[in-house]
Amino acid sequence: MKRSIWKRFAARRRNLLGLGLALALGLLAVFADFIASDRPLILRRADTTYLFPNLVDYRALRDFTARDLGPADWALWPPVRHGPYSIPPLATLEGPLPQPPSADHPLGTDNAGRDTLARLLHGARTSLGIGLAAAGAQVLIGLALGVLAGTLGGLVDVAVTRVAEVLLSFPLLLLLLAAQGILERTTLASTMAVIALTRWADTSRLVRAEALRVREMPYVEASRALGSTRLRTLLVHVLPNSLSPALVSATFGVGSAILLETALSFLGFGAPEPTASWGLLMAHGFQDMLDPNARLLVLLPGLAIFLAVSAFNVIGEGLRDALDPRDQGAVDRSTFITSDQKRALSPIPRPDGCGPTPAV
Amino acid sequence: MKSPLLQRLLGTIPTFLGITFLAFALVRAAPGHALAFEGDGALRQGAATVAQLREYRRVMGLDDPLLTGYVRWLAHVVRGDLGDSFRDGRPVLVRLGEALPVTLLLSLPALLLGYLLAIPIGLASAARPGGRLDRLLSSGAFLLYSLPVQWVALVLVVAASGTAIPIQGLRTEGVRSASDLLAHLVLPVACLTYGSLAVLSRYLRSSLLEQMGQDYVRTARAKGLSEPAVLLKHALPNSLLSMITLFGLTFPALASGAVIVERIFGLPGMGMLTFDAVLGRDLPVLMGAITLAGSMTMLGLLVSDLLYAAADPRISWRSRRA
Repeated sequence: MKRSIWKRFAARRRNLLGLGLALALGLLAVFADFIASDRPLILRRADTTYLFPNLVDYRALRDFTARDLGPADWALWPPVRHGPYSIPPLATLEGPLPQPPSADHPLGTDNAGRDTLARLLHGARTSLGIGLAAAGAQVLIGLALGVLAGTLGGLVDVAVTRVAEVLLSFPLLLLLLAAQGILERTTLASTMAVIALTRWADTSRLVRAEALRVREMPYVEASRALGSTRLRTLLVHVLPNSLSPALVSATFGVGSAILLETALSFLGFGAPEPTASWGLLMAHGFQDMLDPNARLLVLLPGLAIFLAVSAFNVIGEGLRDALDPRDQGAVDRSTFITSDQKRALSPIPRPDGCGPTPAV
Repeated sequence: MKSPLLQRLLGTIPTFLGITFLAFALVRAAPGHALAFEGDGALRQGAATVAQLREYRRVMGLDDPLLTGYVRWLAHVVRGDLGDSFRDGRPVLVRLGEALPVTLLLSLPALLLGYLLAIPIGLASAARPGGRLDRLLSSGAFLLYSLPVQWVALVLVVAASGTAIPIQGLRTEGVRSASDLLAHLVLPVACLTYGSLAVLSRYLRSSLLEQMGQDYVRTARAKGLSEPAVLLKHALPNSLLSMITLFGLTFPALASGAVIVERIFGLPGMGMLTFDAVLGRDLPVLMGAITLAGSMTMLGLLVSDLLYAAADPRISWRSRRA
């Protein structure tokens, strides 16, 4: 069963490409400190060997710079010798900021003289981290509420469906902006939380439809006839079946959350300064749109966002097709829900169906 | 016997109350019981005095217990009183009235363009599903989803710099002609269109393909109609009906504006108004914007339900007879 899902997923080259891209970005995010850091990976200094000064904050190295290396010392440096936060001393700066690409800064610097490549790499950590965390939280909330609404019905169902309906059509960015604006200051955690708290409706809607479908299945009826309790039906039959739509929704959720995080950070209500965030980088770039060096600060993170979001969207589409082989190929189910589901959901089809949410 | 239509209409009331109550509770929960605002930078710049803030909190019921406060606030709103802006002391309603036309000037053409362009694209895709053109258009639409709007805006600005297309504001200083206004709208409208274009064309394609598998299409083919005729005369009208039902869902977005696009292009629409209100803690304006968006959400859901019933005869708002 699991193998056949993977086979169907892997049958399309596009899916593998998306998966590979997502994994590559994930590796860059996880090992960002090993690729871009202003501290060496291993340092031999004054007869002491320091392992991973890039990760560990050694007291003896607080004020260390590359120029402090004596003749007997040596260091193993990461490929990019700049950290995401290292601001060069004013005296060493040449020319106006942001700087164009140079041998020292292959992608130039931002307005504060920080290395763009380092900030992009560490930005992957911020974006993917928020994306995965928000999507995970979104799915947990949506799965719980969707399964409950679908199996219990009645008032619970009405309440969940109503709230979800409003959340799905209320202008998302306005909602997020208001929520973040009301907080005294925004943090990465609050950004993640507001995204999850507003996007769960997308998951609960799909899960609920699946729960309604499963509830009427003959085998569930049979198990009820055999004396299965409501709780048992919910846990043994409805929940496992709801995992597939939840998984698909989670994958699309990562892409949406990344886009939302960058939009919020761009507006100054997401990642706080000086976090390395793609959205913040773009905001810096926009301070002077017609300066070609500043343009790079918008174009590069934009491409990074584009790659990350499309990777997760491709995986999401591939997963959806692989998990649900019904009428495969006959109709592309990318943006609409079957008429059965439509009626089960509410009288309202969403323009984006169970597909990715478009850019805000 | 209650009619379903009446039920649906009445159903909007709790939705509206729910949205506004939530907004009210959120704003109430905002840090800064009046005095805490004294340290706030935006206030120190003279945006609002503490006295102003106290007055607003008292009048709008922000100091009362949650429920009584909400009822008080609601009573004001029903009478059309949304309070005065902290920033310039003018009524919130006036400020909303200034910003809304700017936003509509952007969002309505964008919506119209989105629909108009999506139809040929969807048709071309559905004419030969899986063909080269279809794959090109489908992946194009797919990629458009993933583009951050700031990025598209910058590319457009760079492309337009040096040409006659203006990149900032709504009008050239001192010029009041329609063509000048139109030129200023080109870039922002393009930014707003590409997203909805991607959604709509993909939706239309899927819907057309669904229709093409239906029995009535087989009948049309069997009686000898050519493939284009089947697509245009039989499948398209049905798909368009289902696309029109989506129209109501665009209401909230139409009216609340696009924060990022308006900010980049310096347009004083609803998005900018809300953004400035959040930034400057202009609570009356923020509550006003949320109330407007909430009303539009409610209205949009209602319209889309009604359109859905109009498009699909299986669903009826008339009382069912047993």
